Amino acid sequence: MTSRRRARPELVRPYLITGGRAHPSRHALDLTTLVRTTEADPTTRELSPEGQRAVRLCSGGALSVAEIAAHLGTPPSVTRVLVADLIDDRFLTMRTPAQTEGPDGEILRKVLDGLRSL
Amino acid sequence: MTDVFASIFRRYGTTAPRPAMRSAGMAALVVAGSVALARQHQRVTALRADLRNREARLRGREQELHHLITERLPALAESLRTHTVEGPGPLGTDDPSHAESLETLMRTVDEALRHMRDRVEQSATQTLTGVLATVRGLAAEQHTTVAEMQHRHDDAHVLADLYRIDHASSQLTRRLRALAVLFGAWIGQQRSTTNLHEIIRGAQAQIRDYQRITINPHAQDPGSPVIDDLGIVSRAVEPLVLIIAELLDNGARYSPPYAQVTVGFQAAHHGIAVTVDDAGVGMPLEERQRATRLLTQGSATLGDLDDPPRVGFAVVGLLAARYGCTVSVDAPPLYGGVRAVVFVPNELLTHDAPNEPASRQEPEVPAEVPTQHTSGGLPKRTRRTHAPDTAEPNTAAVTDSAGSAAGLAAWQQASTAAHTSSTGENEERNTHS
Repeated sequence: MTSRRRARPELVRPYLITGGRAHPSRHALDLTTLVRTTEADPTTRELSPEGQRAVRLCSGGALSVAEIAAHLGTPPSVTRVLVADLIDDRFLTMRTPAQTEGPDGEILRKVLDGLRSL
Repeated sequence: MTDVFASIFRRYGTTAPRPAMRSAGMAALVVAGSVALARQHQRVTALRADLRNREARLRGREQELHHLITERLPALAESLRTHTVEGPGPLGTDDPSHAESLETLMRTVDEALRHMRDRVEQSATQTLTGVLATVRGLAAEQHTTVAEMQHRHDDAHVLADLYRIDHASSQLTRRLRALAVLFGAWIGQQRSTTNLHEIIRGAQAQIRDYQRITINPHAQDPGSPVIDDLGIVSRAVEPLVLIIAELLDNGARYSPPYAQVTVGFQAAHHGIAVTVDDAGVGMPLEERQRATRLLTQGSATLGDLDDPPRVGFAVVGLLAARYGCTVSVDAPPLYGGVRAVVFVPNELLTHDAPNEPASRQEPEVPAEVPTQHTSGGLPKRTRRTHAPDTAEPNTAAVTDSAGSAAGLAAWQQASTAAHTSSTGENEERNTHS
């Protein structure tokens, strides 16, 4: 056992935030997925405090799941479940970088070559 | 006869009395005899009366003794077991000395038994507290480890198992904490000032059926403010979590598995009332009396716990008395279930809780920044000018204090309204108003 003082578990447990679910309802969601709100000023009154905060964070523009996790202070696994639920309930929407105007293969190859030549 | 007298007088050399004197002597003898007889009779009568009296007293004593053996001693034993005070008194014969002796006897027995019971309870408590301290330490260590693991692991299958262990561990910790309170031990490490909503969710996480709890963070009165601005002072956080967790557990346990247990809030005079409503079958009168006794007496012993032991109300009563809350349970026919009300006085409330920013606040929506591209064609992420992450600490501080002031004013308003409408009634009346 470590001798350092360990932090007490938070009052609000991860299983309470996710309702006991460990699997997000959307598999496509990873830590780099960008999400943003569907409308400018959604009514989040019925959401959990974490859900409300996540929606508010994203109302300023797209954020990655990892960034939301960092802001909320929740483990990334919990945040994935939370964000997936918010997408299901149409509070948030995904903006996967690959689906938007991403770099083509030629550019990636150039980048790779550039890195190799370093 | 005359000859006999004459011979007697002759023998003793005295002259024979004259006939008149003789007859007087006879009369005296008769009088003396009858007086003696009368005295004898009196004595016999007196003795008879005395005997009857003694017999009556004896019967009285026998009855009193019989009453002592068949009624009073069993009642005393019962009162020691159930911690009730009053047993039947003496029958009350007119025999003060005997009554006094019996009272002395009863008192001595009572004192001896209570003393012995207290000593047994004290030693049992000491032993259990010692054992409990060790077990609590281990449980806390396990809980902390499980909590840390959830930050380290990302595999959903592992996490699903960790959630189950965490849930069990949370319940275990709560049970151990409740026992510690019952045995007079320290409730555990203090937490910092915490938002009331978070306290209730913390309590929710510690019960088996946490998914059946609905929290309505908005007070039912339309004019009342939300609880997001309300915090609980540091020393009362853990006790309040435990009080509410026990009430939630009780509500969920005694209601159908498909029914929700609802937590609500009411502005009350000089504080706030947290209500816990279940849709169970209600509470029999006897149970309600037991609950009320445990919730108001502010003390509990091992004898109060029944068999199998039920610690919930005993723990809630102890904590409420220790921290200045008031808890009551009622079974209003309107609901068909049980309503528990926790009144939290203003002394335990604060508006300085590090609350999560309330949803009512207008989010600062920065203007959309057009996506820029690098010369290579890669989309360039620019730092948003009003990004919530950078702006949050400042705006949060400002809006928090503003919200806090607004919240305080609103609470005062609601308090006054509650006060004037109910003119100082207790919080339970307010909950029904």
